[in-house]
Amino acid sequence: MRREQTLADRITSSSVWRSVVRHGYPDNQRNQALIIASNVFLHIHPVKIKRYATKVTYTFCLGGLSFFMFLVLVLTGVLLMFYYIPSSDQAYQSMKDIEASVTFGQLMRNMHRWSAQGMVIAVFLHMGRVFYTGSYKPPREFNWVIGVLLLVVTFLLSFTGYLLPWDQLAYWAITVGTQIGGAAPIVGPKVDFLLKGGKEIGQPTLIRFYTLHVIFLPLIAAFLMAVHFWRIRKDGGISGPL
Amino acid sequence: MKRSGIGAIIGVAAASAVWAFGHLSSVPKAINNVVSRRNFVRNAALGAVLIVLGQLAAGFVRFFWPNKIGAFGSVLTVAASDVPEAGGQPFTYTPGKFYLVNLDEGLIALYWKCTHLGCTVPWVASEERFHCPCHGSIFFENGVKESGPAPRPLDYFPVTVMADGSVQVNTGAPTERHDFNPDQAVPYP
Repeated sequence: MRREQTLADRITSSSVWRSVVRHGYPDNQRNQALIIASNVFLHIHPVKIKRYATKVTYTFCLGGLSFFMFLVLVLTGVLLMFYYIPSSDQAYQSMKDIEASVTFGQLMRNMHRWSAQGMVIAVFLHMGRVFYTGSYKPPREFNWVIGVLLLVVTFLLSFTGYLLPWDQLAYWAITVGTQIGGAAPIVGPKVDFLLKGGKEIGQPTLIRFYTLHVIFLPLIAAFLMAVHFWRIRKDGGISGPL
Repeated sequence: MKRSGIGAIIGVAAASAVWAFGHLSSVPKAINNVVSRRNFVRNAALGAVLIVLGQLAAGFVRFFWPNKIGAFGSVLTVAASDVPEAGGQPFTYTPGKFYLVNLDEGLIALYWKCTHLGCTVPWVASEERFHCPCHGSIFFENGVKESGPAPRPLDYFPVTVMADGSVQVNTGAPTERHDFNPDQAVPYP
């Protein structure tokens, strides 16, 4: 039986539509798989998973939550960058302006702050889960190492972001933080100088931490995450009960 | 007020999108053209998602219009001691990009941007004229063009004289004009 060709039929049979959507209606396994496999974003998730992987209480999706909060941090962070000025004269005032004079500015700042706290917690719990379920064991030992590096990058992102409001809390936290680095044997003073960009916390420190926070460390994190997610697939998918 | 307007626009847009989607739909229509329960629920769900996405998009756009801007564009105050005497040299107020001139008719705040191509027009005391260095437009003390390519007199900003003798100038509202008339000046005691 032929039914009337609707406007939707004409759109979905056009060459523009077909150049983007390269699969038919997902009412069979082939098209269902193609939807995932032919989309750059969806293909990060596997087409098929093992039955045990649907049991949320095994992983609590802690890695996924960490990644989700990273995405929130990227989005809100980019928006904050439109108003934040990394200058020792203007940083604090621009942070106050974001809160008081920008529509949704306070929401963006608080989302950034709370997601940052949440990401540290989620990454930590994720690591604990992987440890307690023994998911670091071969063949996943290399991914455990990548994960440890990601934990360090998460801490560094958190630490570098802490200075940016340029208030008393930030100033003294970074004073303490850089002194801890300075306490290292032999290389201590060099580390201290490298972090501060000088002998005291000032404009050189702020621009160092800002650059690390908004581009250098996020790029490293994104690179490591790509390897981390790829290795999950290569090592047999999400871990499950042994 | 402004925000509720945006909300209303999004609401209407989302509602029409739901309606349009229902008509685009390739799912067979229920008999007698009544919207089927399946279509209604599907469209309601998609519509709810569209409304949220629309609000997010509107919030995203709104974020880029800060509610506070720098000195130029807001109402600025010139101290009483800086207001020139009647017939005196114009006072240059750099943050506001204007000259405060005390004419016989009263005060006028002239926007220093040339009406020709936007150069900053300096006051040349020896000529007693505003003389644009870019293309040679010359303006009288009241901002009216004497010669040159400028199409109209210098724009002026609204001026309010305060009780203490200071003057408030709204640099957010430059006013265009084609001639000088005494209404443009504000009497200064």
